[in-house]
Amino acid sequence: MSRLADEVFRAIADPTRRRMLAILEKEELPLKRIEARFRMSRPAVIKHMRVLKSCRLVQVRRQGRQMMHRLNPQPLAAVRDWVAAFDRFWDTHMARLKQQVESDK
Amino acid sequence: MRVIRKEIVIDAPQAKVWEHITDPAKIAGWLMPNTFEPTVGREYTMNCGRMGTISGVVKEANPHKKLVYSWTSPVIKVQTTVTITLSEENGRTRLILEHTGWEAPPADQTIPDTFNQGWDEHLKALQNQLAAANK
Repeated sequence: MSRLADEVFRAIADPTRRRMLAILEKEELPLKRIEARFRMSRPAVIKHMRVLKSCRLVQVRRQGRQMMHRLNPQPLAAVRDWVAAFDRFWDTHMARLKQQVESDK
Repeated sequence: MRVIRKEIVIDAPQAKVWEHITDPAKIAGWLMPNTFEPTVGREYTMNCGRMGTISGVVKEANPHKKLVYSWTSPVIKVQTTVTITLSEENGRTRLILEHTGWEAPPADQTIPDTFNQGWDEHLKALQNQLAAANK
């Protein structure tokens, strides 16, 4: 698995961050609104945003005095590939299991 | 849809299939070298080569019927669950494997659609596979 997929996985393993992404998919929000939505302190929100930004799941742009945050879905492709890899992993191993059991007479 | 689901029919009785999914030497034959033991609460590890060491705990072991174990690794990070269910079918055994927990259910159910994309094609492939298996 690539380092990006690894980081994305770690980022979305957290339920709070998944909820943040769900919201930031629908709306572009400044920190203040994210804080309000999650009833969370600014440092806590910043910490989550730092994780999400480092794997590019959240993109930030300046609008006047505010920093606007929104979801960038592109890195999720890395995770889909990772789960798909396990999907194929089980295909291979299930076929082996069937063969092994059926030849065990 | 965040579940990996595999279904196969094996031409052998349930008891025999059970041996192959619980006996460490037999698991090593089709899966990976391991320290598995089908006792609830028992920890195990599996050597997954370049994917690292898989570890987990046996959650349920209902002989010849159902086996559930947790499955994680330093690489996977998230805690996933493997559930294997066996049932009798015309003297053969239907085995269903479900690998779940790739993302825990979101608290507010508004998980972005982007999380779900990509599963459609796997589902389609699975349906095709099942249709082919049922012919």
